[in-house]
Amino acid sequence: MKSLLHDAPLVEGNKSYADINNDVCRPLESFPTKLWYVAFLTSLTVMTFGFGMIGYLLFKGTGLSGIRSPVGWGMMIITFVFWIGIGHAGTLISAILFLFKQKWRTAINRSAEAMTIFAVMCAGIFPLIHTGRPWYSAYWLFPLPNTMGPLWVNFRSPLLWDVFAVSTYFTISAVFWYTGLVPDFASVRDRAKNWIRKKVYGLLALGWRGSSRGWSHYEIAYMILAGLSTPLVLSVHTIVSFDFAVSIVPGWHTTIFPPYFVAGAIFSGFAMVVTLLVIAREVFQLKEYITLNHLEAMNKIILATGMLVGLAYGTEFFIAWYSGVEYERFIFIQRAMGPYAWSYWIMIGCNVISPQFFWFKSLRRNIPLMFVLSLFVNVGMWFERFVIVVTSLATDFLPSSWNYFRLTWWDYSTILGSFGMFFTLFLLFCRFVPTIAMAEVKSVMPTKGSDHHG
Amino acid sequence: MGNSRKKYCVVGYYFSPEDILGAAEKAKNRNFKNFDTFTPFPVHGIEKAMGLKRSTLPYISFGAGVAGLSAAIGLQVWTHLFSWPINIGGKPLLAIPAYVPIFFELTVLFAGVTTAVAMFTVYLGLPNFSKPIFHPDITNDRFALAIEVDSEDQVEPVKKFLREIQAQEIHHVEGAL
Repeated sequence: MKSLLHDAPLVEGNKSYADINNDVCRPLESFPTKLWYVAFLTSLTVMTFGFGMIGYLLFKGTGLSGIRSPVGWGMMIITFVFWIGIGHAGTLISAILFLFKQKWRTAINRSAEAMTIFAVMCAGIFPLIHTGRPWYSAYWLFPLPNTMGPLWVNFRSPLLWDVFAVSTYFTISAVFWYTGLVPDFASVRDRAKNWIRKKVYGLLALGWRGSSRGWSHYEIAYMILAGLSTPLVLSVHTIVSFDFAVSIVPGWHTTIFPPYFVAGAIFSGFAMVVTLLVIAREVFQLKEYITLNHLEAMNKIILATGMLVGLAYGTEFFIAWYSGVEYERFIFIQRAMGPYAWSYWIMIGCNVISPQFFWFKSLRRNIPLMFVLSLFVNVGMWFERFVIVVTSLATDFLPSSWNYFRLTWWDYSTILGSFGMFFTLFLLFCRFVPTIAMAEVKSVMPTKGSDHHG
Repeated sequence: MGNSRKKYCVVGYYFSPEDILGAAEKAKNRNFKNFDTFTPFPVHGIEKAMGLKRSTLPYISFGAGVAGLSAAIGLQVWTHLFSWPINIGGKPLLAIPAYVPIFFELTVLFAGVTTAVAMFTVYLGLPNFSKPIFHPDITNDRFALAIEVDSEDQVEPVKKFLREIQAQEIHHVEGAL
């Protein structure tokens, strides 16, 4: 497979191996900037506020949220699917692009994987709140032995498949991330001047020495993890889509859901990677590593997956008409022209129309534009899940129970809180973990011979 | 461990992956009992230059995957057929297609976690904080060839060999590789 970046240098500025360590470790070893503090304290405040709201919501009952019969899933499932989707780009970059030998991934895989892990953590909050009594959720969600007679979870339910898919995804992503980090933790340990840093990173590095006998096992393990993560990432959003597709609700009961959800997940995930990296390369002075070429390659993927998502929207409509099922036809006409038409057209505008700018090379390389478009895509993908969850449930089989779904103040503050948590974790990551996989970047650099001595 | 069995490591440094590849090949041809190279990143072709065998790790991963699949089969079949047979919406108790997602997930979970844990602990012997780190720049931009010898009088001949194969800096430390 041809690389998306065939003739451009992967690292700009004629760097040596030592420059990479100096540049990547700088944010870890210097006092954080004022900008970092402002961003961190803001995110932390938003997160604390959000968790306070969740606490009160659980104390009073989930009725504070907008969930009402017949829209029982409401904001929580919408936002759960949204965050799980965001995570997908990280695994795609770290695993699938690795197997396709796309060397440009080395500059962005570390931060994209971090984003995956944090996004899955944010996602995990929402089904727990949705249960209303998260302290019971251990044996509601997992097959835990308990004293209530033989009482087990139902393995035939897609909601349980989801529990297994998401928890496996989180575990494997974390293991993969840590495996990649060990050699870089050793780099930080070996250059540390302060003994606390030496001890902490020394423990994290497990005593890694860079032995070639070690590397040979390490590379095999990395390849196996990439090989396992590739079907895993495709399975996760497939199984999330089963939550909908296995039911018999019109608008959900379709076989297109698994590929459609996976494409949407990659689409939104890449948009979030662009959002984060445009900021991070500026703030942490990593422009020579995360180059305009990297951003352009990601914008190409956003364009391609955006078109796939658009194709899925069109196919759904066509099949609704072609199937001849009147409930199916009704729900799709409701989506585009009913009471929630505003959300449908926000979705189309953000997901199908906005990426079209990326047909032009100059626009793919325009940083302010790609930043704005990546935000549009994220908004659009949240609304995609809104459209799916709300329109199908609000106008269900029984017209007497139809209802107009409204988000409440509690819904907004919970969503905001999850963004606060996401950015808090990401800022901590940028401060304490090497944001670029140093060892991997060195291995794709052209070698310069022995002209410089340490 | 008596004093007479004290081991030494003689270390030579290089500054490019090409140089370490050449040095590794020459060290292999000299048939040293125990030597290793230390590099900031995996150098391609070094396994061949050093004469290393391919890792057996994939067999461990496969075994763990089979164990994960068996656990998933056991868990679901036992729960639904024996421990708590309950009719939900007329679905059959032994609903194999409905079990497939969890078959897959547990296979991947067991195989992935086992691969990483086995690689670090069994194959690399980590965590281990007592082995010597020859130079702090090995994780930065230095490439080291370390040769283990059994007694102090073998140090000088090995140093001479390292000079012959153009090591840029040479030193020796007490202790095993």
